[in-house]
Amino acid sequence: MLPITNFILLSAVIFTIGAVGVFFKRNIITILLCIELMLNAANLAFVAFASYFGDTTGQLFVFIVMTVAAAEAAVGLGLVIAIFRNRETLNVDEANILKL
Amino acid sequence: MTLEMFLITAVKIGLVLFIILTAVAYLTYMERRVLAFIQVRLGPNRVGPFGLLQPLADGIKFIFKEDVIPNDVTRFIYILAPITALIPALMTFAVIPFGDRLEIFGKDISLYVTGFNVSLLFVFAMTSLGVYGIVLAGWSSNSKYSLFGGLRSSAQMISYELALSLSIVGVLIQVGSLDLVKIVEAQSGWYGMQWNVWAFQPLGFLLFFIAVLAETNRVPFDLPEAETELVGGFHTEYSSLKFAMFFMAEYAAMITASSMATVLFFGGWNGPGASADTWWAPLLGLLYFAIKVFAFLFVYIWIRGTLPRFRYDQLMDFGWKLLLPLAIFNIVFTATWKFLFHYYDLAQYLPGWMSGK
Amino acid sequence: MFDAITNYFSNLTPEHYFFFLFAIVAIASALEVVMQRSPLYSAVALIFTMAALAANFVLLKAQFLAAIQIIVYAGAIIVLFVFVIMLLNVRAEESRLDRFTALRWIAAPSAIVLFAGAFAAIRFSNLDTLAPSPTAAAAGTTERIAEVMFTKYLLPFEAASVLIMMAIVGALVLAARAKEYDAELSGIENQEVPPKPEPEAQPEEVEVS
Repeated sequence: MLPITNFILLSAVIFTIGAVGVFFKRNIITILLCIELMLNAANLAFVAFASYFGDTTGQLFVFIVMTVAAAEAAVGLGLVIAIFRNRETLNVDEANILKL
Repeated sequence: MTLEMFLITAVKIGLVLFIILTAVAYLTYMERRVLAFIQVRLGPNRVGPFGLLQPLADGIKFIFKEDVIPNDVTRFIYILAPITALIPALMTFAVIPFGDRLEIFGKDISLYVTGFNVSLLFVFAMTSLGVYGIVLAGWSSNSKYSLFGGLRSSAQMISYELALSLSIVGVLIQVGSLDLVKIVEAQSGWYGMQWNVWAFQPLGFLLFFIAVLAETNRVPFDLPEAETELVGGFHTEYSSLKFAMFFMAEYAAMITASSMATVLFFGGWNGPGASADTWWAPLLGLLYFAIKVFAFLFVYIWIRGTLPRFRYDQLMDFGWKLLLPLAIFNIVFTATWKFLFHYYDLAQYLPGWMSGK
Repeated sequence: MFDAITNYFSNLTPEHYFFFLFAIVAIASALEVVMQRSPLYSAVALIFTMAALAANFVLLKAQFLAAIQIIVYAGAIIVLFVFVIMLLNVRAEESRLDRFTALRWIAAPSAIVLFAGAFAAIRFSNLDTLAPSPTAAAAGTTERIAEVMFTKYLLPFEAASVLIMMAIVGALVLAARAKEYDAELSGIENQEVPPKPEPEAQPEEVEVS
């Protein structure tokens, strides 16, 4: 079987890509997508360790992460719709009326 | 994995694909004929005896028609959409158990392509991917009608997928497995007649069937492609082979839905004599399976010929305010039932046939 | 050098090939998520990432989670994203990596540091010596997950359902003001009945029940 480092490295790469997306993108929907990407990378690491330790707990973590991701997507997209209705833009840099 | 296993699997995949695609072609013929008879017409009867070669003629027509790609479409997704509609629809057939194991030339061969311990979830995963074909087609066409078709369809499918998944939880509680083969095998009692639909999931089946009608965008839930309002809905801008792919995906989804209803609620290949210890018993099982699927497809067409279409808000109200609570009630009821029987062994106080022993 | 390469390739099992195939798909589509200009393309690319990761879950003998990954992520969450993208009809293109602010000069190095840190941590750990567990297959079955979830981790599970409940209420509150807007966009504004309860918060219940 493969050494676990392969999976963990893949997880690290995808997490970094997701983080880069969050750093650089302006469109709020894309930023949410990149957050999903990061959550998924974490999931992969959890599953890899769960599998290599033969312990189900890690898989349960993934389950909870998915729940959180679903809740985040629902509320986040609700907010996106609300922002778009008020500001007619999806650019996070322009949603700044609370700024001093 | 030996070469022999590989060959057997390849042959099975080829056979299943061939049979399903033929069935899809003839399903269109059947739909047109049955609808015609319901409306006191004759339907297609010119090509071949009784019009039996009509699907072939249609296929040739689809292939040779001009393939129009409108100017303003988002090209890549426009081409991707029919493919994403068709492939998941066909992939579900990899795990549907059409029949039991059969002995050919001294080899024990299963009459399904493959089976594993979460095959039911695999089917659900594939059907939940089916929505992308419609949504992407609606978005990429860059046309009002297509966009509305896609929007309606994604809202509808998200809403009804919930009722769909919850309606089968009763069966899962009863059987205790996500493996489709095990679900079928659990229904083999009562001389092959202990089907989940009457032991004891009639409500579950009703909910499943209604939700599946909505999932496959059939009348009375065919709002995504309502001709009278939306021209063609999501496939307004498609022509030729791409349109044919949507068409095939829709009918393949119908066959999947009928097969799933058969497997989950109507005993799959089970029936009187199908689990006997003779060489032809598995073939009889296959026949039972085919008859059940055919009956469901007929009911689909029958409903299309009979019922009017829902209005959009009625559709949503029906899904969220009626189907969902009923499905949850069904789960609670089944769980209570199972709990009582499992822990207090109520079965001993009942006549044998009621406990399903 | 050459010997080392041939040696490496002769030791590869089918598992390796599948892993590299899906790893490449996952990384390429993850890059697409970030590089694409249109959010819809990003969402479509993300579906491929999810699918590739689900395949990796299968390699790790977690079939249940692989199926759930496709159902919940690809079948519900991304559909929700696509739905919103369509609802708002976002077609505006933006340039590829376009936050041209001072932030870029902080963000780029920190991304590099992030990956370098993770890489170093993996490289200098002794993870390589971790042998695959013989009970991996048993740990990934539906029965085992259910058993653990409803006994040892019942409280987190209940907390997750409370979280979902709150998300549903939150989405409803956010969307309740959107009635006229939704009616306009679902193309039935000429009907007198206000349409549709909000479909957005709900799909995650599938996996809770």
